[in-house]
Amino acid sequence: MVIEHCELLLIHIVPVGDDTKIVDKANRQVSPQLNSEVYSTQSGRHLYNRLIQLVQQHYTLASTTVTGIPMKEEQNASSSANYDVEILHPFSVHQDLLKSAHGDGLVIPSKEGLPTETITLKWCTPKSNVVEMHYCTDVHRVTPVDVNSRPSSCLTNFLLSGRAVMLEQPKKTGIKVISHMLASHGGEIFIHAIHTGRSLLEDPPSISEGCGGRVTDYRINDFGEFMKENRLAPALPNMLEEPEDPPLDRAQSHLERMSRYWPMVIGETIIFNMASHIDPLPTLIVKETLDEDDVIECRKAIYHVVGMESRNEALPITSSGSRAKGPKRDEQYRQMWSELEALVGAHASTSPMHQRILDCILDCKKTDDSKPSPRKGEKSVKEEKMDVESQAEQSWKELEKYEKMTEREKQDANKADIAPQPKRQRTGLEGPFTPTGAGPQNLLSLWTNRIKSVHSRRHEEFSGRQESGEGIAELYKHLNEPKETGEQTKI
Amino acid sequence: MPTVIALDVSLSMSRPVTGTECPEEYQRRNLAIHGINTLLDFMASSCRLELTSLVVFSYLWEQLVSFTRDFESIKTALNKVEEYNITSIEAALTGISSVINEQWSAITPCQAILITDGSTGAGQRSLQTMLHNWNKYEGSSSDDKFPLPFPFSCKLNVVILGNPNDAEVKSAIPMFEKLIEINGQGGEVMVPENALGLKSVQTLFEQLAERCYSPYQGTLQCGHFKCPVHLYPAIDPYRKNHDFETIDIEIADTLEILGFLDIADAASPQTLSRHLVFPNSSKENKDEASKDVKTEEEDESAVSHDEGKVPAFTVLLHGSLKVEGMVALTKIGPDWYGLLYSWADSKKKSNLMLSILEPGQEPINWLGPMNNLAPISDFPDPPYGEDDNKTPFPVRPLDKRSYAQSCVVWIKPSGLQSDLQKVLRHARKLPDKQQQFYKELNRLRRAALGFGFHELLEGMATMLERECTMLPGTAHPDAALQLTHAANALRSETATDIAQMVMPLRTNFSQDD
Repeated sequence: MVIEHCELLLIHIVPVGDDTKIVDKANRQVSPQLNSEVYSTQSGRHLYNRLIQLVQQHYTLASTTVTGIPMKEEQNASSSANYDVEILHPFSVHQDLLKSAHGDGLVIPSKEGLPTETITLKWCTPKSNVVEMHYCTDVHRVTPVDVNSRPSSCLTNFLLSGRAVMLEQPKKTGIKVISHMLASHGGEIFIHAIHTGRSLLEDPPSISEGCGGRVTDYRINDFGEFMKENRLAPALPNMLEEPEDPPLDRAQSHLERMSRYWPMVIGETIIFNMASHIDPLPTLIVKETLDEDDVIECRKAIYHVVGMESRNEALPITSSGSRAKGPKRDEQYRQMWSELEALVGAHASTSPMHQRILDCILDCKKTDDSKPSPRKGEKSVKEEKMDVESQAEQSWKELEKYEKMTEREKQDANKADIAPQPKRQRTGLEGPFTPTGAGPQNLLSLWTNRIKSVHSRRHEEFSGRQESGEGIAELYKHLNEPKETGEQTKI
Repeated sequence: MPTVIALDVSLSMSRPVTGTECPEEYQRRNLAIHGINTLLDFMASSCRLELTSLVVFSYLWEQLVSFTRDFESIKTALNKVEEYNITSIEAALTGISSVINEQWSAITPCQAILITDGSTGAGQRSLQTMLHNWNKYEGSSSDDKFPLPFPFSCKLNVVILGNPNDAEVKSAIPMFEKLIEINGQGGEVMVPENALGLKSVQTLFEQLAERCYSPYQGTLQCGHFKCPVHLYPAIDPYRKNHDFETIDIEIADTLEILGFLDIADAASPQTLSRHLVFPNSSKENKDEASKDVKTEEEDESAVSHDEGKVPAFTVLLHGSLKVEGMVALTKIGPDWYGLLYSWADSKKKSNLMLSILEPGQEPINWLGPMNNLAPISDFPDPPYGEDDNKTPFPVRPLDKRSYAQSCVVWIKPSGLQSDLQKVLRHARKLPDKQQQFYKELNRLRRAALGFGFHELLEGMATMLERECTMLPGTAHPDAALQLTHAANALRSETATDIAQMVMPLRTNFSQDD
């Protein structure tokens, strides 16, 4: 890069007490690219003062003196005196103050004996731990002028321990104005310049007057949980290995996944009002990957709901006052099932495991659809219910048995689910039972299919079928071949 | 953004307007008033939270209406405007400057609309003379009286009510453009397209209104949640020249929430500006709705009642942010972020607020680079702890600051004195705290060697010997031994070797080091 301009500063140092033979020269232009100035000073304290002054000029720093810091004396523990600490920071922190600073008498010569000016701000005793977002127009690091003096280190230790200090402008007339805040973040102390001018946002309209303001049953607590689950944290070094996949993008996709099906209002959802019944399905279904245990947990939840339905338990719907069994409750359950299907359906494309859960729901749902409507007559309804109940009982027992099975048996049972369809058809238990996947299924057929799969697992395939590969073994293979030899086989 | 309307009420504005466009006898001033009313109507319908003030000027200036949201009061004041004498643009600019400076801080973006007729005054106070003087003193800061550039953030727009083909107008336009250029914060000179008349003035002001006061209409998105929103005040594009790059970005149409943080972690960062976020109805035909206002008042209230009943995502978001005390990190543009949170004014009325951060990857130091923020589900151990009892923020910088460490600072004599006294205090308490004594002693020794202050070692040794002689009879014998040993060590050859440390003397009394 080309250097366009250079400022040269020469400091001539003499020992304390000697005469400075070289005279100071102010900043002057030597050439269009070079300015120079000369200072001469005695060493020691004088050099220090001069350097602080030059540093403030060069880096456009300004100084603030925090006055009225209450500190306990070492000798006298009960009394406290007020101390001052001078700190340096970039000049922009004072921008708003300068309008009135000179007039208010805030600008005074440095109390540390530096040849510079400082603005005094008063320490405000911090109130209770109310955390709020202040409107800060400028935030910069600070450094105390005298780093290790007792008052300075008291102040810095106070700040480093996590507490923030408000600074106010000591105004002559009445109202105190809090204009700055000192706080430490990560072991560094910052000064925040708080906006004190008139606010554009005075008297805003109320939320209840705007869109969506009259709705009273937002799921606020649930959204609070949602927010907590979508919090951010700085990535660990091992998570930063792929520069094309920044963690923030992953945060975005996480948010997208979790919000695919999220009703905003209590009145618009059934399943989220019965969270305890369908746990942990909503939590698991939004995960990126599911393992076998997860799938089992989800299935359990689904079967639990099936059981609820069969027992005709009330769904937690606030709007419907009627406790009548019959079409209303049926309708509610149907709504619930379609909602559950919508929830799982939104995630079905994430992985094959998710798809399985959706299949499970579809299976259960079809079971419900095939139930005859209660209009047909009370008796048949009751019989049907008994039937369904006994089937439900059986499925519950099966589920319990299933849980007690060993890990391996579980794996086998699950494998059998995705085993090729034709195998089930061959066990000879066909007939009145509807085959899997064809037409509406009821619980009985579900149950039967499971038995079939268990049987098929134990069944050793006939050698003839094995030889012929997948499908039905064909008999009389050569029956339909064109006659070549002229021999006819008559049966 | 607060607006100042500066209206020229000099004699030249009372000139009648002639021509085919304008059959009735109107003065230029009437046209101006009509135009301002048009502007106020636009603002009332699309940004009714804007604050406006009315200033009139001729030779001097006067603020007729201070900043208010009550547009009717401005209209009333306009009707009562009198006529004064000659034009002085300088007075106008001084007036604008003074009125804004009094009320608003330097960073609040303001707008000034100067309405005049193209006659720029004559003689000493004319615009021409003013600009001529400025050219002479260009660059130097000695001419404090010149009101431009405004010492605060303000756009200057000039509306000239004159026929565009007029010689006077033609000569005035470059002068006003020069004024806007001196201010350097944007704005333009606007002239009616056709001949001067009611309609052309109205069109002109409508154009001005649309250019300067169109509210921001966008969408707030959080995953699959979407809500059309508008912001008050609208967000200006960001244009700044940094050391090595120039950044020039506009706000995007979609404000996208990327994740959530606790308020305590965000910790009041530096913000460029704050904006209130209001939901729009899903039907975006706000303009049509406002036009229908005159005809069907009842219908509109029914519509808004319905809108109130349709759930809006912003209300849900605001409620939860308030209850949980959290903020939402939002992306508002390329590498430009903001924070959404619940804000309550002094009367405890709370709303959803968007704070705009500085563009860049690391607008907040203690959060680290924005791209490095990951969802907590990615972490093997939950970063917020099992019960939300800890927080992964703030991100600590690599080096420790000097005020957090104990450094040796001998700028003032008191620094040196206190360090020496510390050693002596420990010496008096020997053999307790023997480790601290030697630690301090070594620290002092290293600092002295670092400064080349060898005389200090000799002085230190003398002081320790003196302490030894002043030990009371009841003192532990080990104390005397250690003190003598330390004094001798400081006088020995190895004392000046910075790599060597003065170690405690092993005596029968010392059990553990």
